[in-house]
Amino acid sequence: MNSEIQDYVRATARFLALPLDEAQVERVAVHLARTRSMVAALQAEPLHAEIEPAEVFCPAPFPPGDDPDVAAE
Amino acid sequence: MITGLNIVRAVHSGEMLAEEALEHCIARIEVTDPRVNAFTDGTFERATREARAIDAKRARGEVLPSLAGMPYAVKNLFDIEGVTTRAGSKVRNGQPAATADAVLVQRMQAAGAVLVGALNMDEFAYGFTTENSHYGPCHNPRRLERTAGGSSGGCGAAVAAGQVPVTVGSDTNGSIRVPSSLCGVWGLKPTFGRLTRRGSFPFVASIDHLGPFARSVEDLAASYDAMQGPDALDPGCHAERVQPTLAQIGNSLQGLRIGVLGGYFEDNAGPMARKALDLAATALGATAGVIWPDAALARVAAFVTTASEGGSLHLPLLRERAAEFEPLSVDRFIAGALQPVDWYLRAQRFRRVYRDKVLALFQQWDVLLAPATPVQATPIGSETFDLNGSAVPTRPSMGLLTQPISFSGCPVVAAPLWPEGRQGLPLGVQVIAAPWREDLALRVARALESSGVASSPVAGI
Repeated sequence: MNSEIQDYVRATARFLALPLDEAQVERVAVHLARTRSMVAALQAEPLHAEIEPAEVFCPAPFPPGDDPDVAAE
Repeated sequence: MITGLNIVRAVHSGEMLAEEALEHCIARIEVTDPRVNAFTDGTFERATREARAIDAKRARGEVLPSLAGMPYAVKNLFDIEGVTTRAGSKVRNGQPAATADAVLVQRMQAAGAVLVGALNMDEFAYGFTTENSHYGPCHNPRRLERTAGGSSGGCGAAVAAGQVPVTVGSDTNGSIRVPSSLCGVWGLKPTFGRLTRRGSFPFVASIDHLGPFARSVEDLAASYDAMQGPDALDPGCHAERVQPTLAQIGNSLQGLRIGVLGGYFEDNAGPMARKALDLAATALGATAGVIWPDAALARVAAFVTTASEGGSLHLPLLRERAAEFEPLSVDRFIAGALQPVDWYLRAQRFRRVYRDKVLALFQQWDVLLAPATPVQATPIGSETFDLNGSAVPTRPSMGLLTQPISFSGCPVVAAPLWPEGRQGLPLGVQVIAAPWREDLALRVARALESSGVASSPVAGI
């Protein structure tokens, strides 16, 4: 498992022109391995094909009008 | 040490000059900061100019603005004209000084507040402890050998130490709420998109929020109100107008549906976090057992989003100068830059579904409560802490309870509770409202303050 992730780190870092020594490769692989195990739950979550990525994220439309709820309180 | 609005009232009435308030503030910084290390930069000359301008206005009989004479400081990722914005890093030391203030600094200045300096933080905001290897760790004024939390650790510590009544920081995954919790001060993470980020150094554009810290809810609301306003030039600023809160914080809670989050938020809370939550829930008569949707998945999605966007942002510098980065976070930045795009896109698709579930929950509730951190402040240098019998890594785990909430964009006030009494360490409770309802979170926070269970005294150092 670790050597597989280290291979991935070496290959992607080389592809991105990011120089890493072997000690860094090992440390970065530990982080990626931890994230990969966390991501397993997200990968298992069913998401229908039509669910698009969130746009520039907006938690809800900004409320219209003159804040009647707030003003009345 | 009086609160910010009491300084403003004294300046308005002529009992105190703005310059006198500033002198008290600078004296307190000079006495305490060698032990706290909250400040990275002082802007005392500028502050003197701003304070004198307020005093001159009053002398001319002009109407003073809402925060006239109130000293404050900002996390050092905000642009301050004439100062290099380092964002806690060493690699940005050679960059030119900012040519203009960040928009929120401009708005605070327009409201009459007096800027005294910039504050310590985790490098590029990637951390929850402010153990900055370049500028030294920020010490928690409640117990100096403990961390102040992060990444806005200097913001929490400066307020707790009574150095300034108000600070302004940033929160991506908990960076306002974690230091508020560990330092025992009030913090407000507004709705995502409420306050413009223009002129602040970014970390994760799709989750970055800015907001204030204070020792009273009144100061928190007044500062927040002064910083509100639309900004068409920040693509992440969705607010279309100002929605003031200060006049409403004392309104009754009658009719508000207040719940307590269980499940994930109970499982990841240590004994003191549960006790702090119980104190707040009892004071408010809140209903237990509310389940926040997909909290664990949201934490993962926030984690992946943070790593990818943060890693990508810094990739050019990581190629050239990785050795000069913070040793505590550089490997995480690199790992983030190498993450498969599938992880990131899946997190973004999940976020759309998650938003709908969170909004549905707020059809049934007005305000929800949860602890802000799993445990109280840990000793500086701790690699792990005990969470209900398991040793968990300190630096990422302090955000376990805040990350799912910020990923939803909901506004949160972190309220300072004292589960071991006022002589012990504080621990914060998150007061969470639906998007754009900061007024409700602040109103409930004010009720907690009035009841006496939440408070932020100046630390006795």
